[in-house]
Amino acid sequence: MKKIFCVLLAVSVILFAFTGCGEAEEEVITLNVFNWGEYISDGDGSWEYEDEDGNVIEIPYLDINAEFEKYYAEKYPNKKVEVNYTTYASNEELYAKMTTSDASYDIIIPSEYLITKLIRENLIQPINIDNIPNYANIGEAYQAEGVSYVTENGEKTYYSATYTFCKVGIIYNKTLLEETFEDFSQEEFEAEGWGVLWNEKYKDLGILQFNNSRDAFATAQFMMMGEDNYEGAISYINASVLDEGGKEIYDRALEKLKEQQPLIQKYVMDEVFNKMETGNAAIAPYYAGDYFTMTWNCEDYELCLFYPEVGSNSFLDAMCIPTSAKHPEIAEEYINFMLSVSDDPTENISAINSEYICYGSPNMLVQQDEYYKYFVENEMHEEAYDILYGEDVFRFQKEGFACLDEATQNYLNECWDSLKIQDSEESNALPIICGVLASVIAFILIYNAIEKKRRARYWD
Amino acid sequence: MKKNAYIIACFVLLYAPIIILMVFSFNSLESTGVFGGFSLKWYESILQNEKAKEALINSLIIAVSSSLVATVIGTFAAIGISRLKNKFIKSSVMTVTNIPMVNPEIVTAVSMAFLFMGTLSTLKFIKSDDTLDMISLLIAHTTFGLPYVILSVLPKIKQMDKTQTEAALDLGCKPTQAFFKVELPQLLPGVLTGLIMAFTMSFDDFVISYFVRPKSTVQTLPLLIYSMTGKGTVTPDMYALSTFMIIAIFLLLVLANLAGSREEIQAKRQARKLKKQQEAKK
Repeated sequence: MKKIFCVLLAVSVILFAFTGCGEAEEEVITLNVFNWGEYISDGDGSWEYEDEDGNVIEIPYLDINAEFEKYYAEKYPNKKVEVNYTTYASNEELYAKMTTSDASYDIIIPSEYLITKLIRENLIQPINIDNIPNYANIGEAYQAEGVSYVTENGEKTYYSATYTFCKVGIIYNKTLLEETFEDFSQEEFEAEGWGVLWNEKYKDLGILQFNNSRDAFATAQFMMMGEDNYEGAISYINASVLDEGGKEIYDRALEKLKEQQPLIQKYVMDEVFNKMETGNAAIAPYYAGDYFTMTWNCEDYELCLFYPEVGSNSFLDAMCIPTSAKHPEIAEEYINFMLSVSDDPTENISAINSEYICYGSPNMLVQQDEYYKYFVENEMHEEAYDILYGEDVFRFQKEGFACLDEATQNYLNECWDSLKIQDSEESNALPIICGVLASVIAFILIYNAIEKKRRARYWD
Repeated sequence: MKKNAYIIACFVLLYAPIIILMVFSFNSLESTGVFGGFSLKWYESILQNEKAKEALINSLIIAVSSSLVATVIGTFAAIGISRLKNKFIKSSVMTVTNIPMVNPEIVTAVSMAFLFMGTLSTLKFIKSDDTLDMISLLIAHTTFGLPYVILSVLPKIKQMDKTQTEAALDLGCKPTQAFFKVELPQLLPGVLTGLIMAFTMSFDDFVISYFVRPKSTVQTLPLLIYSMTGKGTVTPDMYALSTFMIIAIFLLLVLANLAGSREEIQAKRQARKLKKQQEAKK
């Protein structure tokens, strides 16, 4: 018996060792790409372009990673690259993975504030844009100091290539609002700006709010900037508690959110789709790119989006190469490929990816691409082009999140917790405790009754 | 009637979410709230979705291999435990085996993450990140699958008729032969239950898989679905996949039950035969 075990063990160990060697011998380079879930075209489905003469071109959503492998094999016939594509759900998850595990990624796509932090902590390496000729396709407006590059002594060191950008807008259900208020006027409503989220009038139709501290506070802070007619250099959303008056801004924003709390139907993230599509809620601040998904799925109502006059958060995600990357040169090749364009609409990598994701593309050649424009206007939404690329929409310098210092981040979390604790105390805890108590009492009563009967029967 | 209403309420509460999920997997819209009409497009898209396929295959490989390994080790462990004479040692061994089950998953997960990061990464002969991840997942899943196997095999050993083993040994079987020919067939229902339990526990595990991969390159199905919530929502093709899985598990359960009931029927028949024989003897 023992012998058999030993033999089995030995065989399994050898097998494992062999599998390891076998993969190494083929000399396939693995490029580890770590991205948000559902954030790259994956070869699923297609759309149709129809020109004026009625000719139809079918444009498939290419599997971008597979296309890159093909492209690389053609360019370097003696090498083979395999893209290992994994996904994460939040910037914080990405940061945790980068700092606590010894995983090594070649490409990551974090949001702007995390990129600043990663640059500071030396977790991402500079990229050589000479190796990325397509970097020139990225519009100036979509590159930001401290995120895309760092200027030192007048020299720019590039760290990231913008992948997508977008902006927070207020989405509202026009049909429901018109039904409820006879004198409803779209212009007046939109002129109210962030105020609609604080307006008791709309409470019964359902107002939603972000269930994440930074975005929720930003809504209040933009509203405050409107009230104060603030024109200062540092936006309220990036105020630091270390600066004079910084703490007051967060306290005031917290007051605002507390005041808003009774009007809010729910603090949501993903649930917003469901609630807006079914008409369960009528007003919600959310990312403009996701607004298009909602309008596709919503058949009974007309959903609209507007950007409040005072401003709303503009954000971008960009491709970076971590310091621990094993193949930085192939990673640069990958970035170049992601930004590449082509006259053939079925091979236009950058455009097809943007069509799939529905967020704004920083690639100027894509923005001007005839097929892409057609897609945006006909497939996404009539006004989609203005919503994404309208003049003065993307104002990163004024409206982008900077990386908060630790003290501010902690204070923000504290404020958020105090808001949420109040929320849960009022709505959730009491009924749950009552329910548990009631069921325990009911259980004891029933148990006693049964026990009594059983005993009675026994003595009979 | 009252009883029936109660049962119906129970079933509705239990199964309504699953049924809603199944219904929405046939939705023609990409919405979780609005039903736009019947369509099979999500089934089409899940069959073409390479990432989901890869994650499913990873999940299946890990679940199948870890549950098999756990079943083999667990069955032997159960036999060993049942033969322990000293009661104190027996109960302490049982406590130790139960720890992976009652211990909060997160504690198991984090401790294993530290262990694997420290030890497995130093093994230089494993060059591929994927292999490293797979091995750590396999070890972790085997560990938490073990107690389920042991706990489902132990009662079967207690029920087992020991005289049959003794008879087999008397008639010239070697101990190994006696085990495989006489004992194992009797334990089989328990072993199978343990296998299925270990399989399902491993297949739907999230917490442990999330932490223990030292290289984080292998993605299992629960991890993939979780990461989908980052930008946008979980797409309905995941509903289609879940529907597939529900149907597969349902069929598996029906089969297991059928096998179980057949065994019972056979056992009853044998008992009847024995009775008749005894009566005939009289």
